[in-house]
Amino acid sequence: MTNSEPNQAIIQARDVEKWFGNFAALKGVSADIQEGEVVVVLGPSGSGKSTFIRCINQLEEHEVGTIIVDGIEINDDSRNLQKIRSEVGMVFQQFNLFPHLSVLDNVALAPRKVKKMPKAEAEELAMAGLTRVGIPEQAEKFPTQLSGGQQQRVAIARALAMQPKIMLFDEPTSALDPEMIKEVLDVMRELAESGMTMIVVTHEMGFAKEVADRFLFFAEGLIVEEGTPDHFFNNPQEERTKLFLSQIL
Amino acid sequence: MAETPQPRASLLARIQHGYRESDASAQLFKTKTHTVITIISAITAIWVLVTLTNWMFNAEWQVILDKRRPFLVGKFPADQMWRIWPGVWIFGALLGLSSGLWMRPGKNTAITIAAGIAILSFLLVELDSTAINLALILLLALAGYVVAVRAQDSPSVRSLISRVTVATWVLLIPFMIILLFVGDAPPTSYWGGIFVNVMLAAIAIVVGTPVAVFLSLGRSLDGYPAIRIASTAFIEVVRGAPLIAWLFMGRFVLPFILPSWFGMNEADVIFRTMIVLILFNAAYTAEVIRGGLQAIPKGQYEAADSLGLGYFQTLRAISLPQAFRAVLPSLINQYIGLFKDTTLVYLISVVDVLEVGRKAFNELDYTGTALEVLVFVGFIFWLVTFSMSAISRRVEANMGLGSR
Ligand SMILES: Nc1ncnc2c1ncn2[C@@H]1O[C@H](COP(=O)(O)OP(=O)(O)O)[C@@H](O)[C@H]1O
Ligand SMILES: [Mg+2]
Repeated sequence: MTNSEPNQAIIQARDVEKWFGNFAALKGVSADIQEGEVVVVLGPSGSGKSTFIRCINQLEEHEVGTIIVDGIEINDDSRNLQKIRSEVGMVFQQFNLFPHLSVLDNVALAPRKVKKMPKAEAEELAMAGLTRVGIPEQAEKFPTQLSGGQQQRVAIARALAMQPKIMLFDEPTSALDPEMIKEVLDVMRELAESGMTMIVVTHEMGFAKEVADRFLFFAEGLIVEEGTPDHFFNNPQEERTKLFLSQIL
Repeated sequence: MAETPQPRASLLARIQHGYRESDASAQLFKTKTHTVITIISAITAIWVLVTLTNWMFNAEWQVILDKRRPFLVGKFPADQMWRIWPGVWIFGALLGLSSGLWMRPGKNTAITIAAGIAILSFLLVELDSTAINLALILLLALAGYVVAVRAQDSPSVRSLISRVTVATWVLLIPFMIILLFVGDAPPTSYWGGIFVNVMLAAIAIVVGTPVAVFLSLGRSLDGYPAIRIASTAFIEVVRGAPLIAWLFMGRFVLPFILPSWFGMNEADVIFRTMIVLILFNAAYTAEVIRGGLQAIPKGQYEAADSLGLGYFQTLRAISLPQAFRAVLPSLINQYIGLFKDTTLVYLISVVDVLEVGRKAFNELDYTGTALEVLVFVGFIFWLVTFSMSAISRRVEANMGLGSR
């Protein structure tokens, strides 16, 4: 199934366009992301960052262009969609934990339902995941009983429980109180070091500088500049990039 | 939620605590106005209480005693009662088991049990099989409760008991229906009393609610306009006419439009009433459930999608559980209304508990007992509906953790 050859990008996006009515949120985005790469997506609000990463796991359906994830092309075949979604994990700004399930059940749900894993095995996996994000002792609680930082770590554990090859993060710390941002970034840093392929939309420039292999800079539905952190901090080319960086640094 | 600060404290301590917390004495006599209102209310309350007690002790309760079997089951033959009692025993045991397993009983449970015992001791004045069977139900409920509470200490026993309990709940109505029809059963025209009200409401709820789920999903299905229009049309048409109209329709028109498969067109009036009540309840319940589904944030579906859950998996594990939690009070409200509406079946000549009462106080022997009969029937309805709302409030309190 996964016919990815060596050195072939794990995500290949070609000329992707996304239209909301007659408004183009993405106007022809192309990007290759290599296995194990950590890519940070930057750009002003409304520039299409969320739309781009949501196209990768098809929370948004693109109208034009192709997206190939781990050798599987996104098309109308719903089996491909299922396959892609079980290989791509996603972490949201608002956590989106399931409030009626315990923390443990939140994490164990997808392995049980999607991978048909036996209950005991799924719970063991979930406990391992919770240990990895540093909150095994919260397993029996409900999401609303946790702090924002803890909730976001549960959300990361939940996505990791499907053992994805790629993780998407859409502003994972933007809804958090400042004192909780670090605990979430620490988990993400550990994940990056473990070799996970990650696309992260974030405004945490310290974290981005340290962890990212590459930056993509979005403006008005296009990638207007890309390069290493070094390139961005020391030698940005585009006026819009310079303006944006001057505003958030 | 936190109505009992120390769950293990003695009742007296809790009452004292509650009194101090509510600061009742200070509130009742806070200002002159407060004091006047308090005194007037107290006098009124005492007057009502005295009048009621006075009436209760002078009333003619003989009619209730004489007619207790018809009140329960209409003219269902005495030698056929084995078709009814086992289901009711199981129901009692299940109530006990469930409250022991999933709910810590509060004061409403106590009120309901006390009221049950009051009726019972009254009926026990004359010992016969009805009274003994009723006593048995209470006993079974109590036994179930004790067993369930005892089982709390051992997780494996507890999970076994809860599995058995859930399975038995699911099988209860089919079991009762089989018993009611197996072999040489009395025709449904013999059904009557509170048994008919409870049976009709229970079936309309148990069968109508899944139908309602499909209707509510159908109504919000974007990709399939045919299904959406059909669901919407059904709901709006059913809600467009009063229940009585539909009952008459079921009684007089349904036989002509039903196809003749399995003799459906010749089915009796109880069966047709059941169909009407199921569909009527489904239409209203569908709207309640739809409200719950609409309240679920979009992020929940996005999270489920991103994890690779399919449409039906998301429904079963994410959206329906949250929708039902959100609308539980309105749902119970709908069910209580439906239960009381089952008294309308007397219009299509089904002898329900209210009609049994009406027939009784029209008998020559019992002239002038209308008030006694109506108070008794009203009390029975209150007992059932109050239990329903007490149970739902307990369930809500227990779910509180997960839903906020
Ligand atoms: N569901 C939608 N319907 C209509 N417009 C949308 C929708 N989602 C996003 N947009 C628009 O698309 C543009 C890009 O949005 P988004 O990708 O969320 O930006 P970013 O994440 O960079 O802030 C914005 O102008 C936004 O208003
Ligand atoms: Mg965004």
